[in-house]
Amino acid sequence: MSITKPALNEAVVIGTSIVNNLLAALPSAASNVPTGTSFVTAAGDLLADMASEIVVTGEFWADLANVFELARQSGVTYASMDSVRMAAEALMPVGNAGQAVQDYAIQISLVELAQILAATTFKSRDGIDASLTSINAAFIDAIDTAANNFDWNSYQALIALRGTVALDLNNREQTLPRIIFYNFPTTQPALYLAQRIYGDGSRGVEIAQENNAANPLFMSSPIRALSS
Amino acid sequence: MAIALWRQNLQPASFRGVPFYVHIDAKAGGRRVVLHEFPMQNTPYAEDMGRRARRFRVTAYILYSPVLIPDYQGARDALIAALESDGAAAQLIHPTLGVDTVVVDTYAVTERLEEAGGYSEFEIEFLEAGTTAFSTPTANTNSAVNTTAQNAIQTFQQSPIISGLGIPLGTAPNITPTNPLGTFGG
Repeated sequence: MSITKPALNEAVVIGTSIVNNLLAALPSAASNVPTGTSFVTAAGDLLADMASEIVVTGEFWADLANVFELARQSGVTYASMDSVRMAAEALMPVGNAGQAVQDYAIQISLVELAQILAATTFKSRDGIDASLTSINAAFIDAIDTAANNFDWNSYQALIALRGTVALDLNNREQTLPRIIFYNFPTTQPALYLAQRIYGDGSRGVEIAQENNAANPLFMSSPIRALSS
Repeated sequence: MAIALWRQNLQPASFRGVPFYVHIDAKAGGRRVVLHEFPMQNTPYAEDMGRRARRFRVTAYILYSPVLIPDYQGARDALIAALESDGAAAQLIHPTLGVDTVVVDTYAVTERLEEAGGYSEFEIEFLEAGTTAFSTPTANTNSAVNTTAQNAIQTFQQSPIISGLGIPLGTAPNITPTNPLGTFGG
């Protein structure tokens, strides 16, 4: 089976959309740091040569993975990377090449999401629980697609990756406190609350941020804070 | 007259194999309890957090004896060296309390030359050595994620969906050369 011109066109459109979404996900401050510059350069090269890389050199797949890796290393957040993945899932290619690009980009974005979570320092169990729920949901469609395509190796790789992420998050969860709600009879300053809850007044800013306080001097209950 | 059983069971005291005599031997332990007292409640809650580390306080002495300890100073210095030596925990044999693995917390040696020459008294505080609590190896699940992720990328690139496109890596295209690559898209 060979690739047809319409299929190639579609693949290029799909690939371009995904790379553009990745570029949009880059934090503005990261475009000046060396990794961010490498990412932008690599993405630009891939956009310029995409058709050629797909049908002539076959370097497209490795280069797309490289662009995703550089994006993660440049500081693209979990939420931004997940929105790139969801945007890729929303595309509806009909040709085999376009579908291959779409499936591959979704798989690579899952790889990046897993690595972003592995590098994330969590402060509470609730944060880990939310991430675990989110990434488990993200894996479902990709695993189904790999199974429907009889792509057993990718299927197993996805299952293994999801399992490793779950094990890692569950493992790290054991050492973290939970977020619980504290009730105080009157509004209190964040400084006072930090001293009462943590025995450490310097964590007043943390409590104010956690509760989106309009004014840290007058914080009303319930107060979201860590259990220890 | 028969010797009392407790006298028969006395063990010669030693630490790291260095013998000494014992004047007073005390052992202390208990439970680590946190007492919670709640406002407007009469009943407290004593939370048991586990066994307290055992402490052994020993008043030991070295006594010159022309027969048993002719080298009084050597025996005294050997005990001091044992109490100060580097390394892990060591075995302490009590006269009455049996054998324990301990570390030395503090000691003080006293000699009263005018009143009692050839006699040195040691106040030693031993602590239960226990076991290392944090030596259990755990898997580095964090790095396992990164390794699995990188392996997955390789697997995805060898997917039959990609190879099924009929353009194996590095081969020439199977499209008509009359279509310049730059004009694709319409």
